[in-house]
Amino acid sequence: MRNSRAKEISMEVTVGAFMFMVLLVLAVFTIVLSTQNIFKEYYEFEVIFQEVMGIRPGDNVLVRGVEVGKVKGLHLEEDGVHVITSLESNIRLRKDYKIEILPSSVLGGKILVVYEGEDAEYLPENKPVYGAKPVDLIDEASHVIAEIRTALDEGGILENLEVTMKQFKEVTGNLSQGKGTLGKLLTDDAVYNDIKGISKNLKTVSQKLVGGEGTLAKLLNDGEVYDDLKNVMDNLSTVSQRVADGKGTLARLLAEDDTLYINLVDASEAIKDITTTINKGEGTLGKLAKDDELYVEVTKLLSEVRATVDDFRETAPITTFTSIFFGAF
Amino acid sequence: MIGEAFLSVSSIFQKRSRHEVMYQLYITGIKSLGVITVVALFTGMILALQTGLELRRFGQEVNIGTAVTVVMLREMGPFMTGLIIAASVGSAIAAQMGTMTVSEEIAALEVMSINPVRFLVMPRLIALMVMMPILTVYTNILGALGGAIVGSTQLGVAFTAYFDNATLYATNKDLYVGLCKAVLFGVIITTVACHQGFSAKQGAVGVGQATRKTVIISFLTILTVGYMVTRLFYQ
Repeated sequence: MRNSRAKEISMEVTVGAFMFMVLLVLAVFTIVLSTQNIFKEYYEFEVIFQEVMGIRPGDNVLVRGVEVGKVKGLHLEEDGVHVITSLESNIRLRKDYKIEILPSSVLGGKILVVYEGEDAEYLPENKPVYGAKPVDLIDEASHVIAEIRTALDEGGILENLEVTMKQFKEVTGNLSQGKGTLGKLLTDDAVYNDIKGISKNLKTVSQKLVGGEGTLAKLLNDGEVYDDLKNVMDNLSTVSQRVADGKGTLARLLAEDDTLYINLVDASEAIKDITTTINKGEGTLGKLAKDDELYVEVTKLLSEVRATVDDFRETAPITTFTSIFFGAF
Repeated sequence: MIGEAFLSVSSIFQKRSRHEVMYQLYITGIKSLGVITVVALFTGMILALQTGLELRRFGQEVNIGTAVTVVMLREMGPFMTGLIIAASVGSAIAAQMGTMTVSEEIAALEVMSINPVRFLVMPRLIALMVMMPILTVYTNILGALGGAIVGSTQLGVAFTAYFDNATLYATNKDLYVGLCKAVLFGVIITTVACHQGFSAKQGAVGVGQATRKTVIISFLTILTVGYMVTRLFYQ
């Protein structure tokens, strides 16, 4: 009797313990699957959409790419679909906020994405929050395909493509046959040889430059050239400084004072007058320049002077002797 | 018969009925744990392996956690538990009831003014209705664990990744719809087994037929009702 009672108690304890453990696991399962921490505070956040594209309770809510909660429920009202979310942290929207429903993957599913905005001013607490019209990937893809089809059918893209391909084929044919400059570049070895020669020459030049041969190499390697150039630059600097200071003729010519310029203008005008007078054959110089008679006279005079000098030269010893001889008396 | 059994549930508080219910709970729950453990673990492992091998072709083997857990919670957990209990406990009930019928023990109870439904059916009904969801939770856990073992050893999916993924798409609805199915399966198994047992004729041959029919009808009914419940909750 006692054994029977003990067995019965043992059976009851076993069944009770098993059921307790499984019920405990069930409770944990329930909490885990509800993905809500019962000890954590959640914030309710409502958004009004005109269209929700099939978002469902349990879909994720993302703020700046971080999952912060889930869609708790949604109900249809006159002003749109009210989507109620449960968030782990309270969010404050700014004036330029944006809330939209996006596909979570290509295979389907939706997420509610919240951009808080960057405006300095926050949205008032009690103001209703509106979401943007969601983007339907399939609808967008259909639209794009329709546009491509229209462009292909009506825009003559296929014809253009056909012509282009024909031309491309022709070009590649010419290239393979070595026609044209590009074809020769691809097929003719002479170009390669030329390039090889050029590179060889460049190599020689560079070697000479490195070796310090020639003017260019000296320019690159010799410090004296640099010193000379520096001196030249110093001199130019001195000159420009003198010009700037108004020293010397050039500076005066460049100076703001117009006196020298006016003088030069006057002088050039006077010279112009003189040359005009000369050209007209007026005055002594004009006549010298223009009158042939004076030239003839002068030539004649010079001939006579020469004759006179010659005569004097011939008679000079006799005259000298005579004067000496008669001088003694 | 089942309605009468439900109506006599209040007698569970009587000492004798309580002991009988506890005994049936023990037979149904604790004595079935061995076979349920093996079946649940390997069901999860097979699911994980088959799904994982296909998902690996797309580089998505990490999602086996979701696949195994959702399938176990929604369908395989209650279904496998129902089949095991129908085959083990249901057939035992049918055999016991059938033997009692052909040996006229049921008639003797009636002669003694003991209601056989309250005395025999009600404790089994309560035991199966209570223990079926409990065993289903146990099956779900072991199935998910089996999937995790295969994921970790054969598919290179870490335990943490597996369980993170497992809780990603499974919901409480999946869990509790599965448990509702389990309760319904418990009612079905008890009803079929007791009915077949009470209807047994022609001695030992009749008992054998009752046992065989219990298993077959229970299997078919579990499948059909399982589909209908799924259809009801997932449209």
